[in-house]
Amino acid sequence: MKIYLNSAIFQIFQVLTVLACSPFIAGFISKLEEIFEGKRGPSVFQPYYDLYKLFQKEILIPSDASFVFKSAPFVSFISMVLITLLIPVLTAYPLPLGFMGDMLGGAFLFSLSSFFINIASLDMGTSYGGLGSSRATLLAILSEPTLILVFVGVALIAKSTLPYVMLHTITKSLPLYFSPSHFLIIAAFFLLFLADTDRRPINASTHVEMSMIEEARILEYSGPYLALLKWSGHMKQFLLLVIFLNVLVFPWGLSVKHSPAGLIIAVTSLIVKMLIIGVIAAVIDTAISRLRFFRYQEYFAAAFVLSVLAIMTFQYKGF
Amino acid sequence: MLGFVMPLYVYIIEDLLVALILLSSFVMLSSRWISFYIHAYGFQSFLIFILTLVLGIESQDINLYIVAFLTLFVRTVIVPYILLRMIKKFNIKEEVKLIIKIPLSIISGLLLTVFAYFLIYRLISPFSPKIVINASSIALSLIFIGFFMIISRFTTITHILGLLIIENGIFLLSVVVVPTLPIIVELVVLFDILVTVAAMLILSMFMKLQTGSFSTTMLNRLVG
Repeated sequence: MKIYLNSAIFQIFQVLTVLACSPFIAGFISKLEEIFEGKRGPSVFQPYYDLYKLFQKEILIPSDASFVFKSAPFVSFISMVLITLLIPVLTAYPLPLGFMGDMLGGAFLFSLSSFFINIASLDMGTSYGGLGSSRATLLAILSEPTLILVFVGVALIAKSTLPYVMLHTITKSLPLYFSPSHFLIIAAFFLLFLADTDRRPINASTHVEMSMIEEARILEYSGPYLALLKWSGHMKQFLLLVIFLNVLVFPWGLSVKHSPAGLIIAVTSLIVKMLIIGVIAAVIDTAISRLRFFRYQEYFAAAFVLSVLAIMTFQYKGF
Repeated sequence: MLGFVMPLYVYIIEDLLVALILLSSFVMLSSRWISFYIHAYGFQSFLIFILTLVLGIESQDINLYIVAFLTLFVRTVIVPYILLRMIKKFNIKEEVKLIIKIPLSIISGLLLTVFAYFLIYRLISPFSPKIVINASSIALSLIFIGFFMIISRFTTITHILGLLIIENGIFLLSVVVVPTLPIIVELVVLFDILVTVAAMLILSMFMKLQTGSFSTTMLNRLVG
């Protein structure tokens, strides 16, 4: 009986950690970018203030909006919460709901949320929504082959598509951890992470610009709906970082058994790892200039090459 | 490496190094600026030097030490230095002219790599360990990528660098498959590189003086 209670508590804490910490990471990265640009920057808690302010406002829905417009924020938010249940955020062993889906299920939920935001932005028939959703669809088309090949690489290494199995495989065997296929998969996934979370070689990630992608899609929203969409955007970045860190890059520091100390260690180590990656992401964001729209293929071709080479080198590795 | 049994860490280091060597040739395929090519070539040669040194330390072979340091001296220092100086002297800032666009040339390089893996697997898989298959197929794919760079780019300097990548591939193949090759063969290969680079540079300097450009697309004007 006790083990059920404990796993339920861990499961709840897993969701709470993601809900509570994701705006903090986003705020930290944007503060760091401002500091690198020589400004003082907003507080790291600015995303929390934004969310609070937006939740206070009234709900405004355009008169010709259909149900898609109203449901998209909820679909996006709920799919992020569901992904949280599937991946190893705090524990190195699978929690009861972790068997609902594998990594492909997680990718499906990510694209479901993106798809709903796309059709919601098309729903109103405004020009910015069409621009944003067509660009986002192009990016999804270009990045999808690499994503699938990264999953194939992980499945070859771990002989399973469950993220927990991958984590155990590379923590158990150090030669596998230092094999080139593992590093190439990490590099390919990092390129996808930068593209998916609106970072520099792909998108300028500022609010008012003609070249905006993510912002153009949610331009019609206001009030609590916008807050939900922003929060799910922060959660998407957080979850991709969790997959990147806890499954691929550094799968140590997770809780290995049900104990309060393990919980605290897992949360703090996760935050520390995230801050380190946040510094790297902020450096990349300030150091690299944005690619022209018609040169996106070069970036994604590089990611594709990395993922294919990961698979090829894994076939004939020497141990 | 045929006939040798090495400890595990050598295998891991060798795997990582050959993967990096292949990646640096993809960096060359995907860049537009000539100086970037030359630095990537120097980096690739430096990785080959480390690989040769590790194999030499592990197999206690004095010839491999000599070959490794000659590689460091010729490929990592002299050849990039000569090329960079030439670029500085003629003040080349032009982009590389490509007939095949960068994404397509990256994907073609990838196809060539997969083809090299296939070929090596069919050729030597019955009698060699897997690590040799991996390293030698990467060496073969370097040769293919070098050919592809010569075909798809129209500047004499990129032609020279394509030839040098082919040389790197041949050298890598000889080091990973038969590290105990007589030293005279390696010396001949290194001397070959120096002579090739010098001759090609002189030729391209004449071309620059005659046609005013390093681009080989101008050469069809010479037809009488």
